Amino acid sequence: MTLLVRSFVRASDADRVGIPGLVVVRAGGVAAIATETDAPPTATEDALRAHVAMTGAIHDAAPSLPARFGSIFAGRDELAQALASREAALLGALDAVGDRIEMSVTLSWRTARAGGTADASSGRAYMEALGTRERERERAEQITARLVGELGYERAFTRESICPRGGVAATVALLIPRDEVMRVRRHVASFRDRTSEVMVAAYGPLAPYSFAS
Amino acid sequence: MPLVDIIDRLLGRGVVLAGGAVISVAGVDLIELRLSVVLASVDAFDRLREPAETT
Repeated sequence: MTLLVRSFVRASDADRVGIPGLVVVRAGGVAAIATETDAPPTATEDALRAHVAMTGAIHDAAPSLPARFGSIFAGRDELAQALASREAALLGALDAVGDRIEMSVTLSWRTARAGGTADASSGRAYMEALGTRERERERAEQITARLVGELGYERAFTRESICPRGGVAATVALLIPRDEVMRVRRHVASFRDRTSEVMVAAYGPLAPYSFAS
Repeated sequence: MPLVDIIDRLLGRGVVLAGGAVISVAGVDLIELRLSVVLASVDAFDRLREPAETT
């Protein structure tokens, strides 16, 4: 029986995850929550969104760490062995995350920016393009720092990625208490209204992918 | 949530046990994540080329 791991929980919490069709494999104080699969998963949009939904449902039931998509094991014994080898680290990570959830905030440039690859038509053009990109990055860092500062969460509970892709100034992952989801949404909406350079969108709550490793 | 952010989380973050992970593309076992090689399906990458979503 091939198992596709969805999440990790404390062994004592495994019975709280009452979702039909899930397989629980315990090793000491930790447990893996998995589903049976006939073959390694294909990373289609449907499969990825299903994994997000499932890890979210598990995290709603009990504090958990979501598995990276595609974590498969040949059977219970192999999975239990891998769990046992990481028991202490998993318990430590579960303690650190607690019952918090992850919110994802994306800051997208309202107007097109340089981004992309530098102009290599001439040395001067190349250097000018590099300079433009650097100024864009600096501005993205300033805007992101302002948002993160206003939200007021500890640095340990934030993960920032500056200019991760074209059109995006930054993405921010926040690990927050469940009862602060609306506070974050309201603040993001307020920040969007006060900022002329970026559009800001908040997604979540999610299982704590960015804080799981 | 935009697909690109989902892909970033599910293929680049989250717990990986010592056994690594395998993702198949078109039914072929392709990757061990411990080699830091991540691929998504052609379907997923095609969607990344679509205009970015805005609020």
